Amino acid sequence: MVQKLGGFQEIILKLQEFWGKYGCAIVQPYDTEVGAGTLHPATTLRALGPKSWKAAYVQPSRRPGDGRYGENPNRLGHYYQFQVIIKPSPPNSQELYLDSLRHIGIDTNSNDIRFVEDDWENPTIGAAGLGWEIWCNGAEVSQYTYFQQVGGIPCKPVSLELTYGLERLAMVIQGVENVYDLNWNGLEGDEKITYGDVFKKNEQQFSAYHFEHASTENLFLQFKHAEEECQKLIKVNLPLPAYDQCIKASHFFNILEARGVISVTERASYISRVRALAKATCVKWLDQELEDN
Amino acid sequence: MREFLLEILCEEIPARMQLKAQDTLAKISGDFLKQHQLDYDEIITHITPRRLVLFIPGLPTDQPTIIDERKGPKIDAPKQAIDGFLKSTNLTLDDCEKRNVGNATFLFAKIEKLGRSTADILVELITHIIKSFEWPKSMNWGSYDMRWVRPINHVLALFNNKSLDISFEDKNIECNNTTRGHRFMSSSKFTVINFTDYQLKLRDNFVIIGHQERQNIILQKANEICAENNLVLKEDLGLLKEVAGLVEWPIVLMGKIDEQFMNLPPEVLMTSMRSHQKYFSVLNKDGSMAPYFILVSHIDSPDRGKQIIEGNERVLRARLSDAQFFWETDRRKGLDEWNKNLASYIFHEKLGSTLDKVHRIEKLVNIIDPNSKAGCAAQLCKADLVTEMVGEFPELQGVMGYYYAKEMGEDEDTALAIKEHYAPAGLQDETPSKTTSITLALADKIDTLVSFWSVDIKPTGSKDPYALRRSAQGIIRLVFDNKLRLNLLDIFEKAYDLIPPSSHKKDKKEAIQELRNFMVERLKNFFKDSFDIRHIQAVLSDNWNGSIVQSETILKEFSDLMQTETGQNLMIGYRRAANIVTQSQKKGENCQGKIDESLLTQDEEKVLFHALTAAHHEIRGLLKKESPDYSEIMKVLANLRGPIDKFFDSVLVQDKDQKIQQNRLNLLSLIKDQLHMVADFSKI
Repeated sequence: MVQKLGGFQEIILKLQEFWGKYGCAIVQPYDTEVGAGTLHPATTLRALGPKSWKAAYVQPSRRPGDGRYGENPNRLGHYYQFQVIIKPSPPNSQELYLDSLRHIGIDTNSNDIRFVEDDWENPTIGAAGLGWEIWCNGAEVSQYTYFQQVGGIPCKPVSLELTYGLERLAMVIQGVENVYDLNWNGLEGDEKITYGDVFKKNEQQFSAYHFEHASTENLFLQFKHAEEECQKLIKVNLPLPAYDQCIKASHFFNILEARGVISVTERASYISRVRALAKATCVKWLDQELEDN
Repeated sequence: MREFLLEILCEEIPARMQLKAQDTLAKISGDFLKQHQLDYDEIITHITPRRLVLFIPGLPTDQPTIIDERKGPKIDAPKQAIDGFLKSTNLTLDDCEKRNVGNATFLFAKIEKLGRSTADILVELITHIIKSFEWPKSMNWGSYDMRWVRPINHVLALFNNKSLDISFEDKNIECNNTTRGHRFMSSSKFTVINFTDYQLKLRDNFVIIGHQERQNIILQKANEICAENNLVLKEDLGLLKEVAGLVEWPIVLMGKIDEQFMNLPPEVLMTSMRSHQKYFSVLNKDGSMAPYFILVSHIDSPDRGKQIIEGNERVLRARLSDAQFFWETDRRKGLDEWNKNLASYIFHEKLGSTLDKVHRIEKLVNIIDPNSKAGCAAQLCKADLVTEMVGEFPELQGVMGYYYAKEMGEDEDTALAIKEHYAPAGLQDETPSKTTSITLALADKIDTLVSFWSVDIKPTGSKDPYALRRSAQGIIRLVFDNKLRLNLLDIFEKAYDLIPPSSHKKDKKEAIQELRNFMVERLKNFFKDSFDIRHIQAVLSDNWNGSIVQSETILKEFSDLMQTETGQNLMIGYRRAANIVTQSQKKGENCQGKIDESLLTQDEEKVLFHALTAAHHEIRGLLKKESPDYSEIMKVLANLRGPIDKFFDSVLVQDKDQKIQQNRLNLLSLIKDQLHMVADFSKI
């Protein structure tokens, strides 16, 4: 069997290779549930303060509300992002990003690559930036952001964040219309493993859990506990474990929302509670960073 | 004369900001050059997604020399003062002119300010542009304090064919006589000699700097492709401008929509293609949706767009599958089921849910028109807000309600009312003309205004987050365009009673009074192009009774009257009366007293008094009618002219007898009051 370029796993390997060569620390996924690669402390916390930083990693991301029981060809409750964070944002960064696309097999002379305005915002962690969504033949394959603030704190220097939507990118490269048909290992015939083989059951079961079975009372309690724990840890100057509690709270909130038990007004108040945790954590982390200097 | 060429090359500028930025650049540059006494022939600006271009021909090489005269001390002033003056002007005593001013002689210094070189000033201009440019949103990058809409990559600055030397805080930004072409289709940097050379070389390197030219190309190519296929492009100027801001070298391509999606309502297809993918819709000759779309790509690929079209078609299939899923789920559930979800859909935190609003609208519909057939439409008008489709495409509110209502077997008028009840949304938007649509549209907007006023939320200055001015404008147009005989103030009061008292933040009288004032302001604005603003002020300020149609009639009749000699004389009489009354009031006299008929001594006073009393009764009688005859009312006013003129011709207000004088002042006040029943003449 010949391994075909562009298997899902190979795209990841190629991206790691490209950014590793550039000088990024290839770190591993964070081991707590997060809604996006941005929430990995290697991005959220490291984007703060004056120190230079370069890292790249894959981050499994959970968005309970986006689950579709494995029936929608494009929506997933769990998917992968490839995340690059570079501080300060380098000159020529667009060329660098385009080179990374070429490196994973996208010919920029016969595909229509476009930088379309999309200012990114994550209200739960008080983060905002300016940038674009990147289109490849009309499909959004990456998010490109110059961080302007995190945890409500202005970023100086400014970090560049690149987020590749790995499934979407692989679908464009492989010309596949259903995410579950993606070739995972790049092999053919009996040895071929698809995205569906790996994840279809997960999508079915997690959708059922998030939409039907998650015990809301427990989750409300868990949210409260995480919130209290985070506040306590900030008081004792432990921003890193405090941050874990903050993203846990965020995840519990996401499940509660998927479960449909949070009203519009409550929603705003929960978001602002998580943001308060994120902000306090970021402030504490930054204080320590500045003391170390 | 010399030319200046500037190109700021940066990372992709958001399309929506481009046209404005082009004007801003011209304005900043023009102001700066004027301020620095530099003449020029013209200012030309261009913009593409990556470059802001400024071209100014006809500049001098230097600023003109300016002679500045400064007045110094007297020639016999203490030595210290004279030395100080000479030092500050850098002149000797002999250089100074001695001139007599009044009866003393002063020193005058003529200081020649040599003009600086234009090149130096242009360097400052570039720095000034970058510092003072106001983007709707700008950003920092790297470790720099510089701000721009996106990071700047390069600057080309040529004056008189030579490059200007500038350095920026971000040292990666070079400034010289080179630039680059299309991001993918051109590879290397090239040198530029002048503006003509610049445009030609950019074209050779696949960049068209003119925004309008790119729009023209897209439109022309799209029309060609459609014509070749016997189809018609659905024109969309907003989209055209946006798309021309997304490419430097437009390549127009056509893709196909899968047949399976053609059962979706055309609005859904168009919105889905437009809002996410920036595709133009294509129509058949008969105006129906054709299964094609036009896309504008940024690259002329070796396979003539094959991969690009296939990719876009795949994306569209995914988008339309979603839309189809929404369409089916929404219809399966049915509009009346969705309606129940409105209970948890907040209208405003102080005003409860949208379902509460719907209940109020249902009642209001019958208050506006007791025979209304809009009850069913009222009940369902907001249900589509919580459907999946409108959740994804908010701009389809109302439209989806229309389709889903028909799906449930509602009649055309009901469905149409649901669709049209948001209209008219803007000045260009058409006003609905079907009775059910009008009633529902009014009920929705009146409830919005009254409920916000009841919790004391109203527009302030430029802030109007709930678009309340637009609602008021909508009400005015609905009533005016359809010539509805409605008393809005009555309806406002009844609408206020529908809001639960627990929500009230303002009592009824005050809330309605404030809303009335607001409506009067909107009405003045509405009528300002058709009538003299002073007449509008006079008729509307204190006298608006809640009827817009009547307001227009009064305005017409009143304007006509004021154009006649009688009207003008009436005005003069009014002014004389008002002036005397005001002056007497300033002296502390009360002019509002009751008139004592026995104190009226001269015939002219008696005639005037009787005329005024008769006019009062007549006007009151006429105003009481359901639709008062305003031309009659104006005639009554006009008839007062004679008695008023005669009064002023032969009666002196001042009299030895204090009581008689007071009585006459009261009579003058009566003139004022009577005229005010129709219009506030003091506003003219």
